[in-house]
Amino acid sequence: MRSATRITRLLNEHRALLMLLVLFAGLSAWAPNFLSVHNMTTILKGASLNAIVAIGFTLILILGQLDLSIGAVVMLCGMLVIGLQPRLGWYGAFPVSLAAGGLVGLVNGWLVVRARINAFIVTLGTMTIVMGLTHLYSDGGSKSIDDFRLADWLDRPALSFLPPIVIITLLLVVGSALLLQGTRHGRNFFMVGANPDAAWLAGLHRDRYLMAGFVLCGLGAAAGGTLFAAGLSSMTSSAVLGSRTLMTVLAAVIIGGTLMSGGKGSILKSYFAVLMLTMLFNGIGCFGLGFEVQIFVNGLILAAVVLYEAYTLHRHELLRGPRPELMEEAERIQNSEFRIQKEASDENTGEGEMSDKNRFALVCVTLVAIVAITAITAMYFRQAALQAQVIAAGRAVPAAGTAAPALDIYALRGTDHQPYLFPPDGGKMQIPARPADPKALPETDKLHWWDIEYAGWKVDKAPMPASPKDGPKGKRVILLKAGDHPYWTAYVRGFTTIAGFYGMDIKVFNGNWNMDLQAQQADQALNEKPDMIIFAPVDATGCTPLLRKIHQAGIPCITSNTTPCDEAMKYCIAWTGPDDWGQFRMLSRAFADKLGRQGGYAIIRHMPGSSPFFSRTFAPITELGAYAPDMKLLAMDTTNLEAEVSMQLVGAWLAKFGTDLKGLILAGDDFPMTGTLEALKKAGRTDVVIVAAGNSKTGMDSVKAGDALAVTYQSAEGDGAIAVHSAARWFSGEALDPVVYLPKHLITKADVDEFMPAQW
Amino acid sequence: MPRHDSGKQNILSAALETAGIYAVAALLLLAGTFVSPKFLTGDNLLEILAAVALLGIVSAGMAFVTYSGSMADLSLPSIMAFSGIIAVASLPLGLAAALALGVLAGLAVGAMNGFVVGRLNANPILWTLSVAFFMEGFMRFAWSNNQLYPDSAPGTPGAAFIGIFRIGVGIHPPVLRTTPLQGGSGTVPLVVVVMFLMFLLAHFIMTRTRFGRESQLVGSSRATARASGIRVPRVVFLNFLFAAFAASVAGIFLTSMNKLGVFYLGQGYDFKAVTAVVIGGVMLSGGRGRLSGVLGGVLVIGLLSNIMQFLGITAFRQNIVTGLVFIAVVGLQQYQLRAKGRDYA
Repeated sequence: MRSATRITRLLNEHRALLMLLVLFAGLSAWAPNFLSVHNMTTILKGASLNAIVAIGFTLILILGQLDLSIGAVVMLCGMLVIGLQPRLGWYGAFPVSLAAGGLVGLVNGWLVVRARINAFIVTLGTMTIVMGLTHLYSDGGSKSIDDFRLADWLDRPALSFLPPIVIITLLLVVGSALLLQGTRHGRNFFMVGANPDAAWLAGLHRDRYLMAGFVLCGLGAAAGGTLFAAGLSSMTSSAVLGSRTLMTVLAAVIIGGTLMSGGKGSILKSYFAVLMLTMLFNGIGCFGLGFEVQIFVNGLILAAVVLYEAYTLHRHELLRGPRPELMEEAERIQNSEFRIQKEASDENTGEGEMSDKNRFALVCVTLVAIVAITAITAMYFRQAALQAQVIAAGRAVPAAGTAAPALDIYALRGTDHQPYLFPPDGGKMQIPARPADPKALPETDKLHWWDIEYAGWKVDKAPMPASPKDGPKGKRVILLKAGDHPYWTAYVRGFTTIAGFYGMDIKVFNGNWNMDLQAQQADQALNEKPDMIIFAPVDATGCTPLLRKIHQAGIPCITSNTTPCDEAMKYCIAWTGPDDWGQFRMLSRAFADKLGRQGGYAIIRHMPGSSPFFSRTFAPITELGAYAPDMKLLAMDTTNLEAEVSMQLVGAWLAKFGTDLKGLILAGDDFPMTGTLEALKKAGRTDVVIVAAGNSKTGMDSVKAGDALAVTYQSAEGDGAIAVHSAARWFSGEALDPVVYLPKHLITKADVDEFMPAQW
Repeated sequence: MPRHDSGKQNILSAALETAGIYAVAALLLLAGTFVSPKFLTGDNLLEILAAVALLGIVSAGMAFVTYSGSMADLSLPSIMAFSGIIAVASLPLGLAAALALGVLAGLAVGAMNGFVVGRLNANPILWTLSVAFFMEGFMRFAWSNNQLYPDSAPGTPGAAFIGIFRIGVGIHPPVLRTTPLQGGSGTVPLVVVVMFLMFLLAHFIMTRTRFGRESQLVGSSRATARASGIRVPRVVFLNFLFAAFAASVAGIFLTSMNKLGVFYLGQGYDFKAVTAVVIGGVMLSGGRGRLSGVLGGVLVIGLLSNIMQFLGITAFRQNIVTGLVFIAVVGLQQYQLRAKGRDYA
């Protein structure tokens, strides 16, 4: 039965490739819109960032070390290459960014090798530091350039269906795999990782290899980050990209068969595993299932691999030693103990062949069980998703039914009993003239923010596809939403209701706040050739090349929620969403009035990398600067919208400024509100005036209780509804304004009850 | 190099090992007084304690995992979120039942981790990472990405649940009444008390029980532990169980503070807790460290961030400073150990 063991071993050796093939076959057979050349290109392109980062990470694991800083290095180097390009050009920006990545690796290596600190600790520290540096460099915002030539070149198929970015990835992967496996120095890495002492005795300079490993790992992450940024002509500063890259790469490399204990691993197999995970995400997207299923299945696969790894290690340890037959004897006894005497009754297990057979059977049973569990879960999810769709459709139908045939869309009401939509009022916005160079003005000048505040109003649109003018019925619309949040659950609720009203066919992709994932999903959406794409970008500038691509494919697109930058607005018919700047100007005037236009105030900012990070900070600052010049901004900082951090920050502010602090402006009325109220209560302050961006349950409860003065009315359901409603208007041949705002309103104690129950 | 020290000598050297982190804390206290006259007041010190209380509770649990040689439990944030959600979901059964079920839910995940890592010998980091993945997927799916609000009407279990975080215990520590520390409001938040209790319990378990000693040997050398008749799987199992217990308690407090349960609560506590544990002198390689050191590490983190907030240093720069301090402190500890010839790490 030796052959059976050999087969198992062979299967395990090539498990990444095997999983990839099985997955490919399965998805080709069942997943809709999966099997096409375009989609294969999408997957290969989507894998490129993680694949390049995985090269260095595999190397570092082979050395028996760990590098948690790769995600942060990806962010830093991507940001650097975009930030430096206008000054240095690509030929200058690339080397500098790569050098920065190598430098982080050098610092990591030095601390591990010279200061002898555990790599986990060192890189955990550098991860925080590098992330801080990235945010410092970008001011918490995104960076972008207007030059799309390189991005276009990277994306356009060069060799049959392979675009250069894929070819570069393949070259890097194959090249480094050959170097690692085919040269003496490369093979030495394995020796150093497997047994450092033996390597030292064999005359290898151990420390040098470790150092080289960390530098190469940093360089790999830098290469991945710079190429990713170049491919999008922009870089986001949302930390999600970094942390998800780290987690996915770690999972992929382990699935690919690299051992965390060092000495074993293969760059090629890591690449297959990255491809497998990308394909899995793509395939699950084809079924229209959400990110929760993707992360769940990802977890299951990793768990199965980790368990199998533990199992083989267990085997290996049992069989080690000078007398294998004795060890096998011992193993049998131990096994019988392990299995609660189950095998003790079986007297005939003395033969080695039999135990081999058992082993093989066990492996088979385990594999089958894992597959079965995965399949059952998948079926369960599929079923649940179908049911959810039925429920969503069911919800839409009675709403439409009650309103009689001559139904009026403006009479439909959401869960908060407010209308989803208001008829377009035809009123024109007053847009001030754009200054020659807004960025040259100080941040406290209103016009400094012209490009963000009035994005889309004055832009010269690229030629847009013509409306079919046959109405919305039966049109296929794909929603690329930014991520998961209760706000977005409500958003999709409004979206589905209105789409159901018009009889549109919709499909939702969830970008999970990750620019890398959303770029892949944009490609995937294009492959499905829908009648319209509604695009809620993860990042205001990072979406530009994606919108260009959608535009080039001739698919009409409406952007929603996050306001894209001016450059991106060129390529979409319209943008719909909240007028964040306008709302916050209104809010700050109410805030100033309540305070008698004097006193000190502080601002809790939104997450870095998001568009409210600026709008909800600088709309109040510029507005109050003009409306209430006596008011003084004491402090502003982000708390990542966490209650606990907000509580600490406000607590520290209260201790520091005491009664000078008269008011607080919060970028969110949920967690920041909870934390702020807690801090105020602890300090025994009831006089502090609070306003916030709304309208969650927490925020409206606080307004009702009198703890907060006002929150803005930003209906999540309305946000979803207005996007799909504008799409319907376009399908009917109506002309749209370039920017369609949700109604502006402040919720105060006087009318808060009208907006209950809260949407989220 | 073999160790010969034992008994008194051992206690002394161990105390010296943790003295370092308290020296850092004292240094920070001193620096704080220069930053602002409002720094060294009872209210502000209490504020710092309250700010790190949740981190402290999680770290006390994480310390067990690290101490017993399993490096870190990356699934603790998902355990926090899970126990919170379960507690809120089962509030209709009454407050006591909800709390019990919440902790039980967390313990269930911990038990699974303990079984898989202890009995099946899986790599702890990777296993807990995959648990974090599929727990996130599961929670998102089961509650369709929604937030779970407890019923906050007065008199309901929901209101009581929200109140848990807000309870102040009316003990008057004498230190708050003595002079430079005037102005203490006299009540200490329950969560701070629970943190200290958790550290006391953890300290007792680690130093005074057989299980604690067994954990140390398992952390130092699994093979030796096994050879000397210690049931390694059981010890590892209990370590993960304790970590999950601490995380569930913290998770319930966190949920109560946020007034809602949702899958992303607790995010980031995995690495934050590892930072506190390691800064407190627990070696990642296992078998070395003390809980008093971990408490010191937690306090240092709290003091550092409070001082930076007083200075008006923004979050981005705070990250950089925290990272630098972290590496510097751990580097110093490592250097000291090496100077004593105890570098096994």
